[in-house]
Amino acid sequence: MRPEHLEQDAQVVLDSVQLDGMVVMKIIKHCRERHNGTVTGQLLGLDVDGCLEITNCFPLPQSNKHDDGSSITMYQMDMLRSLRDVNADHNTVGWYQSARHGSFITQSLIETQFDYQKKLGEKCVVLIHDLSSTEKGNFNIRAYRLSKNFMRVFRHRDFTTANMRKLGINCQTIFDELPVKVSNSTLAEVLLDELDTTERPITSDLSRLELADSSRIERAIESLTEGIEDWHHDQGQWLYWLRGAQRDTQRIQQAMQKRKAENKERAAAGMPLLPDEPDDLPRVLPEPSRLDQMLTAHQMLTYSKQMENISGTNITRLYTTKAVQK
Amino acid sequence: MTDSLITLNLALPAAVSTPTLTVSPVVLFIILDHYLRRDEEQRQVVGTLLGVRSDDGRSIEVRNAFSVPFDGNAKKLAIDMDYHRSMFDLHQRVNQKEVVVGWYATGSELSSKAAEIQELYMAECATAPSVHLLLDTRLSTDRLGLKAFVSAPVGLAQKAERSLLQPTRCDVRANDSERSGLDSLAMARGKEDRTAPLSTDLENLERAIRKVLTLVNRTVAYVDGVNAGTTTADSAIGRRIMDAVAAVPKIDEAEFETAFNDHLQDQLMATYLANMAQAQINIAESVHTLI
Repeated sequence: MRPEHLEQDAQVVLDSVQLDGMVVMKIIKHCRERHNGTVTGQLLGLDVDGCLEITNCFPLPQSNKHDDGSSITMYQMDMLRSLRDVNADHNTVGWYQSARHGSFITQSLIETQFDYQKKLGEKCVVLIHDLSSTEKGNFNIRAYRLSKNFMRVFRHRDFTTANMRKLGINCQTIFDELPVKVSNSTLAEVLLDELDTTERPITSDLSRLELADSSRIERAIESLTEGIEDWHHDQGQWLYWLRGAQRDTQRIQQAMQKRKAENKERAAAGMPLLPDEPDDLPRVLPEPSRLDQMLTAHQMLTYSKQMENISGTNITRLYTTKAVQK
Repeated sequence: MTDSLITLNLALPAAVSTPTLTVSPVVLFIILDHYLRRDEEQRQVVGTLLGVRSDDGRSIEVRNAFSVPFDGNAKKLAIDMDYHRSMFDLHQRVNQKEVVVGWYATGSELSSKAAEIQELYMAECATAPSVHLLLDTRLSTDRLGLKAFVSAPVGLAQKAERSLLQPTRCDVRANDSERSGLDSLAMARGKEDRTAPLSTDLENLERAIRKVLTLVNRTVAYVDGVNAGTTTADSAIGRRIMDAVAAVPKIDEAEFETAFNDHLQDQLMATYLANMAQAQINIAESVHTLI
């Protein structure tokens, strides 16, 4: 078991993700079209020496509730076949999802990514495109992959404290984040050069200087507060379970000791022994899944990093304004 | 050639005004990618353009495109319209608003097959005018030189199949999100491997500030030049500079100082909160593993 795992490790070391210019533009287009609600799509490409090159992608239709998902599978098959006919890469390497204000971690995201990684192996990423940041002029896309240990635990849905401690899983080790690069074909470079004319530069450099309104940071703080509440709630439940479990274990031990003493007396009196375990033992409830809480914690970390980021840039902007005032 | 086309059109009984045309940059990227992935012997690629027409038909926005198999060498026209239709159906499932608005091809000028293909796409577009985009991917004039054409009815009887492709102006328009994407892509320009890592918000901001600095320096150099008499003064530029200087609002220094400090404190507080939350989460995680 062990060496096999190691061998697999050696084969698939993905260390970065490279996006083709067309993929970048297609994802932005698709994510922009649906302002509210998330959109997803599929990524196509190849991995070359540990770098996952994503060369094409296509959007997935919104799934409606009456649908059992088979029509989407059909759609995927049709699309892949069609793309193969025109020489596009038709090797699925992952999927993308749009997000707003950095909130994207949900159980369903993890489940989808888990399915992808189970089917396609480790060479499979999910790209999270934060539209709210892109609109402000900072194209923001991140590549994630579920970590190996997390995959192992998730396979058995075995989120107990003991297990998580054993494998060293905490909210920071759910995902492996991979660095993202963008690349252009030679022709795309020519295109960029032509689009970037002096009278209408394509680059949005200067709009970034606008003093940010406080709504973004307010939003981040609100989300963080919500996260704290959720987390607290989960924590309360877990503590409740822990107290119950401790009480039950104590009771069981007491009952066992009592039985032991009883048996000793019986043995001394030459009477037949009772079974070691009394029949009416209370049962220890199974531990509630720690997954939710862990996800909330991860989400909170994301929010707080985002807050740092926003306030950091805001402070820089403030000082710039000060310089201009002078 | 352009002139003769226009005269022909003017001779029409009811001259149809050409709709204004905008193209989203993603379309151009798709066309280039298609050209790069063509079959070895293929010299030209074609595909379908999807987009939105305004209700009054006065403007067409090309928003999406997909490639269609095409054999330009064959004697007979070999464009796979079945493929076009099935692909269009697939696109419709994601975005119903986008309809067929025309087709694209690569090359420096309209090919001999253009008329035939145009006819096929006219049928797809019903009565509305259709668009044709041409990108010179072989860079015969060292440019991609995007050319756009809109079909216009020709002849005395207005039948759909009689049309000519009329050259028209076409703007490449990128919205805010697309601009930031293009901006990231532009970072990879001129690099040897044509790749670039994504920059963080702060790095982007730094670049923007540097750019402003260079612009200010250029302006200062110009003004100095005029003052010293080495550069001839241009009153238009002078007025612009006046406007720019006037754009900085005059705020009382003390007032500005308070506002500045208030904001600064808010932001620092937010940073502090964020750090605190991170520390708390980390502590909680560590405590959990101890239990």
